[in-house]
Amino acid sequence: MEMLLQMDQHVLLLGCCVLVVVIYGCLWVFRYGPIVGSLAALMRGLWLLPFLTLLIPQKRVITQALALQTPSIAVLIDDSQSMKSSSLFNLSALSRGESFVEALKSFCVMYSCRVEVEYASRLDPAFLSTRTPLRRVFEDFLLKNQDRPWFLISDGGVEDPMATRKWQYPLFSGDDGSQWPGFVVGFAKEEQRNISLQDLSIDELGFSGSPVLINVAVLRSDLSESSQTIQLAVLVDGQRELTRNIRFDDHSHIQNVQLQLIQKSKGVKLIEVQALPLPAEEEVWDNRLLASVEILPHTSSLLHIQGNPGVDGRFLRRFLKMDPRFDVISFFILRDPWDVPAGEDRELSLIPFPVDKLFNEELEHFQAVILQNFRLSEFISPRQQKQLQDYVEAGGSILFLGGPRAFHISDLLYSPLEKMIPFALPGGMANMSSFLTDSFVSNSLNNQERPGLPWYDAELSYSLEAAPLSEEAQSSPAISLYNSVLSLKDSLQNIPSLEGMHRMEDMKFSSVGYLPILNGRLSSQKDIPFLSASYLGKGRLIWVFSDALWQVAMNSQRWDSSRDTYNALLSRLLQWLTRDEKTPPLAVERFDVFKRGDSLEWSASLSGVLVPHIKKHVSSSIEILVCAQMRKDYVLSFPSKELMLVKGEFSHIFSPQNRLQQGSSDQPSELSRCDFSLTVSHAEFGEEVAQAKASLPKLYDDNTLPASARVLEAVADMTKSLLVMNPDGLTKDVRTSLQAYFAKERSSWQLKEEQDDNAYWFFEHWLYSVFLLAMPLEVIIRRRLFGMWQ
Amino acid sequence: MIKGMSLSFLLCLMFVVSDSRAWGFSLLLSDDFSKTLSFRRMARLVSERTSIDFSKASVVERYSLLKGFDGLTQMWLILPSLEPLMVSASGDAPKLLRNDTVHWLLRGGFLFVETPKSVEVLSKTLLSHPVFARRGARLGPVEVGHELLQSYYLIDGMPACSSFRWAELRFDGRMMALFAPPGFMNALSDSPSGDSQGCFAAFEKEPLMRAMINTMMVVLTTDYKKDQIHLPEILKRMR
Repeated sequence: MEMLLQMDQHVLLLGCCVLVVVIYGCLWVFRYGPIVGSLAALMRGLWLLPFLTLLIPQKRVITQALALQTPSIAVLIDDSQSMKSSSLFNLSALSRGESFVEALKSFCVMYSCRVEVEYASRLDPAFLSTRTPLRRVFEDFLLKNQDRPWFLISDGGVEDPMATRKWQYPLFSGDDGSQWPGFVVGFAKEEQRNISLQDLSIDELGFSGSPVLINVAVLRSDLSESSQTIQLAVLVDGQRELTRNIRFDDHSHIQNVQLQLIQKSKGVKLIEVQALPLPAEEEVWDNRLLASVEILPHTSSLLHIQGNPGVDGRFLRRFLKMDPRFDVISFFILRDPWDVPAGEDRELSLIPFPVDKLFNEELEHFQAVILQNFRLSEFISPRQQKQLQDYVEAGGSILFLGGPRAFHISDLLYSPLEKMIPFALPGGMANMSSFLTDSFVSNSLNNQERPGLPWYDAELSYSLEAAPLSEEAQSSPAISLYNSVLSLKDSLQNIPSLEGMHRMEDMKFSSVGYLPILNGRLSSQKDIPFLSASYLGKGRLIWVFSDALWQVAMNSQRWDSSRDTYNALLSRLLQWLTRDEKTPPLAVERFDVFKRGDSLEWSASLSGVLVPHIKKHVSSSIEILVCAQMRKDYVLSFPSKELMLVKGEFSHIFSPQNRLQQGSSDQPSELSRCDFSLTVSHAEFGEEVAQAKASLPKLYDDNTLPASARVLEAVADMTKSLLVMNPDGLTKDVRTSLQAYFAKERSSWQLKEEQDDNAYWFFEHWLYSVFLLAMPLEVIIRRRLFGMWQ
Repeated sequence: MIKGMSLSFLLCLMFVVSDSRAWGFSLLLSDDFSKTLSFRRMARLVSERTSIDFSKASVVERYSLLKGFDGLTQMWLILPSLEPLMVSASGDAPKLLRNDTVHWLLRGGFLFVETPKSVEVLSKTLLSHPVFARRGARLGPVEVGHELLQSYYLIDGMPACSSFRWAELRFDGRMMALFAPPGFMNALSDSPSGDSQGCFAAFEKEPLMRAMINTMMVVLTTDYKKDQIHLPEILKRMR
């Protein structure tokens, strides 16, 4: 009984039916005889079979549309004053645009689509005045209509035509990379003679006295002249610096031009490239392009002080004087205070060390100070040492090279150098008093062999190895210095051994703002810091705990590369110290200002290895100066690992009372400039400044620039859409494009699949009628055959 | 009196340097010089008069030219003659400076050579080496106004006899070699023997000492004095 209950009920019913047929069959055999009865039972079974299959339904999948699909087309009509007043063929551009929309609607009747029209003035009332702020309205329009075809109907007479090439919004392609059709329908006179500039590119950095390369494309629309000469001018901060004649030959329409500009003075410059307009050229807004470049000083000023003449100083000075990038002033302490030259002053060529002049007046003018085997307390007063500390904290740099006279106890305690060194003496202050006493009694120029002090061991032999970095240290901003020194690893490791180094193994090095770069490996395989970098305030410091760098030059296995290794190493160290990096840790890639309604929007994108650290240390201080105003209301974002975006707005800036007013509607004001400066500082990386310049947008009203085919071309180019100029209705291109789009759309309508039980599956095949023929056959067999055989 | 003596004693203690000063400058002489040459007095005077620290452990070290220059890691070598440095490529070919010597010089080495050869002969001999000929080396006399004459002491000229002149090989922006009349080092030593002093036998020690100190200053500090001459201009450029 339980087994019966567990069986599928359909199977049970089927079994019962079969049993009934069998019982019938047995009865008929009994009644009609074996042959007739069997035949009749068989017929009965055959015509019952299709009905029995109703008890065994089959699973089937049904696909159906989710909803009734009606594709739509979005249209944005620019109904500014210029659209209403312009007349081509006795009709205003607005009228012609509306006629185009009617044609579109007629098309949609055949294709079951809808046309949704928006007028720009309803989105922004400014369109009712004499200005056409198309950018913002168009961007919003595209945001809303990302998944369907769109049309923009305009005459191109926008208030900020130069911005059409800098719109930042990704204005085309769907998420899956496919492209929906976009169309720009323009109503403007297509100017025959026009010169335009495109694709201006300038390196973000240049060096004073060295050429800055400027690449720009010059285009002409009128190809009727086989040859034509166009004059280009380059202005730097408004001053004309360069002119060049560009010649078009052989009906060519584009010339890619490279210009070289040499700037002597350093700083951020606004470069403007202008093309002289052609006679009767109406649209001249596209004859100028602007970019910003920062000119760095070609030479770095260095102050080099060495505690006494030594071999290491000879090699260092040789390197510094050989490299034209450096302006070096060297001071060697040739005589200690207690030395007796055995001659009168007039017999000596010695001059007093101008410590007052250097440290009180001139220190800030040096980009880096090199202290080599120098005991500060011997020559520099505590107040002047503090000035040195202030110099570093304000952004200066120090290269500190060791030697017997360096890191003397009197420099390490109760002195500003104590604040600068990246290590602490072990044992704290408890041992210091005894050290000081011994030092006073012995008047030792050197820290004698004494644990707990970084004493100089002249007989210490070691080889150079790269310092291992912790995971945290690998993301240090000084990692660029580490990597650049490490590129010399093979050459440095080829040096069999160096001699002479400070005993730094007991020193406790800071974990913040400090990066070890090279270690000295002893024969016991113990490592002692040899070369390190650190930050103090906004400044950078490099510490070489030895005076043996010259041995890198003298010791190398290959005679023709030993000086190269030494020079390369020093070059990398000084490049980092003087911030003369080819790829600065933070630079402005792009800085733009836009008008948006009554406000001025600004945005800057910055890149560099410093970006992850700025993101990490959100508490790091950032100061932003835009158009000479300190901004605190900005939005900061990090689209990628080494890119940061910062943007903000000057609200209601374009009002008659505001000093940034752009002039009356009759006469746009001249280009004004806007400086951008971002200063970021943190204990981990010191301070970095990135700067750029841009021009405030030159605005046009509908009277000055009523229409522009160039603007429409630029919009179509930016949005990768089809440009249709002055159409009388739907053109063939538009029609074909829309048809292809709708055909594709229908094939990709959204469907759903459902599963259900199909009991009538047997009846879907023609065979079922054959089985049903068995029904009359059964009757015939039972009546006639039985009668015949009776 | 006792107080005065105690104070003097204490003051003397202040100037006592108790360390052995293994670090410091040493002269490297080729072992072609007499083994008995000693320069302790010179080293003491240099240390007393200037900030150059001579090593107390070894004022002078010796070097055999048989070892060649490829393994020489020190940057200053003093020789009593130029001949061991000259080699002929083949038979009758003129002698040129040894390649390993040139390589050492290019790495940063400095030669102090006593030689009787005239400036003209030296110039012809040394500048014929392909490296120097190709890259604009200059060999000339040390004349009035030379940095050797004003690097520490202001002297009218390098001590020399009438028939000899000091000469320098200038290359790579520095003084690469200095050629002195024979007998200079002997005359400067602690116990100079009469014959080995050459024409310097008639000289007082002081001019020789001053010349040596000036030489050491130029070798170790190069032409830094020129910075001071142009200092106002450089400072003006930096502003």
